[in-house]
Amino acid sequence: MKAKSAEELKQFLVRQVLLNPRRIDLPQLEKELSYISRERVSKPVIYVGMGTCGRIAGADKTFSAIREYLDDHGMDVDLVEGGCVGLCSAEPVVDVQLPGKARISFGNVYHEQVQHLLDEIMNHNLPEANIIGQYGNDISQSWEGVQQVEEHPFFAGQKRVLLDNCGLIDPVSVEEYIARGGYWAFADTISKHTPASVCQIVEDSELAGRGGGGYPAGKKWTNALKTISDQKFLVCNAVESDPGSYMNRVIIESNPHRLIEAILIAAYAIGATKSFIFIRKEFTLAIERLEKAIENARQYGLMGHHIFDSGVNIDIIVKQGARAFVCGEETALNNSIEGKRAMPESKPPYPSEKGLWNKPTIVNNVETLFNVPLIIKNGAEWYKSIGNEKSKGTKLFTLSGKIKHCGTAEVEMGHSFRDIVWKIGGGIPNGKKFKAIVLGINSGNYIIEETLDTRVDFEELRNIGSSLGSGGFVVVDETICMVDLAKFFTNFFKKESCGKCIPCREGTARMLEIMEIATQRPGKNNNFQTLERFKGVMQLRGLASVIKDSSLCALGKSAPNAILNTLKNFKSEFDTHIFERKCPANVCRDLRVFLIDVEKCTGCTACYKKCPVDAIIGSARHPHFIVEDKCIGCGLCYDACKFNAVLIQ
Amino acid sequence: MDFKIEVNNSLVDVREGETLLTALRRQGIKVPTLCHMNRFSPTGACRLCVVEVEGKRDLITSCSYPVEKDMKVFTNTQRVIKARKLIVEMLLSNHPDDCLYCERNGNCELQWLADEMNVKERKFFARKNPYFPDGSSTSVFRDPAKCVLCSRCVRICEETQLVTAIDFISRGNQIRVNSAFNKGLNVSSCINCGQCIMVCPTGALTDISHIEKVQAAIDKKKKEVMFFVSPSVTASMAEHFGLKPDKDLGGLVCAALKKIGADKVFDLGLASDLNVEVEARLLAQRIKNGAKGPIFSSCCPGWIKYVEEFRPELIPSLAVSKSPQQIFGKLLKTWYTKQVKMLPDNIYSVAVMPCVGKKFEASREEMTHKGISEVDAVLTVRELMRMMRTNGIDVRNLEPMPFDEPFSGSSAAAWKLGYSGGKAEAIAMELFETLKTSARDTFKFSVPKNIAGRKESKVTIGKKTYGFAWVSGIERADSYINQLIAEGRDDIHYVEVMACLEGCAGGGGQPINRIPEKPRNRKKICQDMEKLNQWKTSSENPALEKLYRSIKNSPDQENPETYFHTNFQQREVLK
Repeated sequence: MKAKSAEELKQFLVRQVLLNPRRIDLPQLEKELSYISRERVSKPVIYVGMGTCGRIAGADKTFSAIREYLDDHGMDVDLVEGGCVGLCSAEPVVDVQLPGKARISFGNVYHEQVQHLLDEIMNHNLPEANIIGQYGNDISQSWEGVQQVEEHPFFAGQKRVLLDNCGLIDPVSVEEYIARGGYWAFADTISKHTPASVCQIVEDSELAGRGGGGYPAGKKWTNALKTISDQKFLVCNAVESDPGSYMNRVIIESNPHRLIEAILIAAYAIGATKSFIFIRKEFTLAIERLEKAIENARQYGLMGHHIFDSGVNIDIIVKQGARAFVCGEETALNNSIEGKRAMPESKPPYPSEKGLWNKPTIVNNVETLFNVPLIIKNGAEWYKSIGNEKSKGTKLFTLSGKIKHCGTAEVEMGHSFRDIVWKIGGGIPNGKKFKAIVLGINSGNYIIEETLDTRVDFEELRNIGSSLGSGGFVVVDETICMVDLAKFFTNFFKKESCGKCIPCREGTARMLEIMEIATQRPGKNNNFQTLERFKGVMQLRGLASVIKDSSLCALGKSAPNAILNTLKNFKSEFDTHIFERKCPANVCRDLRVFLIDVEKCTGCTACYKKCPVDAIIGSARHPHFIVEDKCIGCGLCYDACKFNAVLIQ
Repeated sequence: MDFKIEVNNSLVDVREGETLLTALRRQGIKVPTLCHMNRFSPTGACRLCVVEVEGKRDLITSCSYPVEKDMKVFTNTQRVIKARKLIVEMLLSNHPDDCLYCERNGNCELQWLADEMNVKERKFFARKNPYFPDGSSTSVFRDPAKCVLCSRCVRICEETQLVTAIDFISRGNQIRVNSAFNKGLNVSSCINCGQCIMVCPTGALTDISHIEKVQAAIDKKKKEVMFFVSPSVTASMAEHFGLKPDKDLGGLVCAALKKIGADKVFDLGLASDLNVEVEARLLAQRIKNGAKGPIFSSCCPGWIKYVEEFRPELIPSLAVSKSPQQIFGKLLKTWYTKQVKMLPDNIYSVAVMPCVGKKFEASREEMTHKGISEVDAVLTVRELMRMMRTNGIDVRNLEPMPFDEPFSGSSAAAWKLGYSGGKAEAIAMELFETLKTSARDTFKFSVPKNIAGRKESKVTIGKKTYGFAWVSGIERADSYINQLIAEGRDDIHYVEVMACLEGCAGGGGQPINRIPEKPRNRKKICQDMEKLNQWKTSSENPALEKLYRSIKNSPDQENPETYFHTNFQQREVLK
């Protein structure tokens, strides 16, 4: 096939593909596209998963090692900075696609393994490495004895609709995205659909907002479309700041064009000419890729003035948000875009009536928007076929915490949480006992042993006093202290509170103080401290429920969740802290008391040297002893002892 | 009334679109608030106005929630009361708790709330706010430790006054209201209007007190302490104590000050007359010279500072007259000292004003005469009342005393300066007297045209018509001036600007009370007092003529035309 120049390629993709109503009936076109999308390759291609998580795991070094290798051997190979396939525990991920052969994926490829891996694979041999699987299809030859990627336990239980391109494509390349069916939905939208019919399709699909509340997106859009105003805005909320959730970042990094397409469709549907992507400043890679992708799409005439001679004007502006959790609240987000302090406003009026600069504004979550191009492309009926009776579609989770397979997983609605933990997540490592799942920081009740069979479903979760939250999925096992966890979350909210309303500003600080007193080292004969502790604990539940009841925004309302959860489901653990002054999980530092087993101690002095407060006494080759009054419970001696002689009392 | 809602199981008529709080207050149902301000959009920050609404999962704030058909509201369920009480307790947890030493002791919204919510013990042992007070300003004292962060001051500074000298800094429970770059109010863009003090629910914002200074001067035998009292202070006292204009109100204030220990108490009215006369003369000159554009009044120190900071291009259009306070100060320390053969050093002049900005004005550099400040101290109405309390004076049982000579006696114009619009009218009358062609002409001020708080009126003198406008509140003034410039209007000749809404009647030095006193009532008293006056215009006051002659004949050979003039210059501040 003759190579095309960049301009020819653009003309081809725009005229023959996007603006061609008969594109799916042409087999010749399909073949040409498969070359552009690298489903067929004429020379070897190596993909390195270069998402943020990949880079943290060492993908940068792997990438440069591969580059060096290729330069040294003078190989003509396409080296692609890819996105993230979702399996964080296998990062850095390297995929190799040889001409005529199926693409094969390797996990945990550190830079020292590159030499061996490439030596073997370039000679069509399977190297000794952590093989995730292969992407076999009927146009290429499969590798012998290698499982399909879909057969990998992490991927087997998933339904990858939103993540379909993630990790497979060059994220910023508009050509590759179009060749894989991207922007087709947008091209069809502006040529075939009216805004009202787009809203209708989305409404028919029963797409629910993924920001946590589950408000129907189509209904929101229809209302916005009906509102008469000279200007409307669409805002994409990409301020994902929950501890333990990062799937929005992953999908933006791995497939930014899908988000751009979704925003273009959504903006067209509600009649907005300007849209903002409000993204956390810390997502540097996502911002970089998003901006590159927008630039590439702009060159293809996909946004701006008079798109494809249709008379539609849509512009997208990437707005970086300063580090603040509260920016995720839509009214605070709008204030921040306007250049004001990111403080939430009371609702009503809702942003869909009075948002940015008092104009109707629709704020949608990244994940919600990601569904839109697929719905337009495949129809509302297709979307409704995914999921269960009540909740449609899929849900992204970022599995983290005490779980074997960490990463971003997409599950069909209706999946049970037990399956996610033990099938997709591979269970809890080291055979520890399961304690809870924290579904995002603002979701309400934790999923505990009794409610593990709950299914991923808006209504079922509501029935157990929880919600889908933002998509965090932190698995907690018995090695984690629930009081300490509650303290951590309370501290997070105290720091992230904007300071506007009294319950959240003062209440979070008071709750944290009470939690700190409760986990403070028991003082000697300090009655006042004891009194304060009991007094505080007595206030805790009332305080938490008032904060939940009367705070201004969702941040304040969810701030006491962790404490209320602990008091409800882990009361005995909490009581042990208060009355017995012990931490059952041995996590709360001030409540730990160490002692040395005289039988086991060899007198190696390792602990003696480590102790920062000189609480360990004893001479060499004789058993040591810990002075309890001096000990601060730091646990350095426990870590230092090679003979397991240091015990936690 | 558009429809009915159910409040505490009884039906209540409400209007479409109004907030729940408005509807509840109309029914006489008390809903506590801290952050709510009339005329301002609700912020929902204090959460004290929460009520329970059937069908809503959480409590909702009545200040921001619009009434809905068929809603069932409960305002005093246990859940609501518990939430309100705990919110107050949370506020108190890091409050300094030094009520006994607080300016607002007994007059503090937080105290009242704690009382209403039956707060009887300290529930939370939190660290006290560790912030230092800011006493750098000449007028406004800030104590962030006492701040409850209701944002009333921030909103009034930004929205009504367009100054934004203070705003929130930091976040979470470290959030506080502060001036730019934490540098102190004196270098900020603060115009010292004192509106923030008026809206502050606690003692976080108070005036820089001159009471101690004045008391010390009274105690010094060598110093002659001379008070001069603005007519609008008299009106405020009358309003506060419920006195009717049939009494000699000025005389009562005079008697009170004499009891406190004043050596002399003068009426500021004469200086007001002088101010009106000077500005009218400037206006007449400007009209004669055919200069384009209006001139702006210059008696309000807040407005002047605003122009110097934000609109320096308007400085040439300001009337170069001194304000009544400074006119009087200068008279006292120069002309009067020569009359009575005293050293200016031995006079301690104290102005009693309804304004905290006057404290700043008194400290301006150009307001000194040969190194001696013209006005040594300025007392606000609040401070005057406090001094009266300290000295055990009951106004109701006082015998009125006449003001001291030679400055007694003023025209109706002096009272007109006490409210927005009065001065424009006084100037118009004065101009009319100067320019009228025949004695049979009668002064007729056309019915004011009101456009969003800016009022315009016209006066026909001879064949010509002159436009007068008045506006109060900097935001309104600023947008009005922009509008004048944008429309290129030349039919307005004089614009009276007052920084505080309603003018001095709503000034930053007025009393703060549990049941707010209305500026409108003070204005009413001023207008009633006007009618009792024998002289209608300033120049009718015979003292003026005498004074000018005396200045002209003095050994210094001063020009009486420019004797009461001053100058303004651009100011660089942190904005």
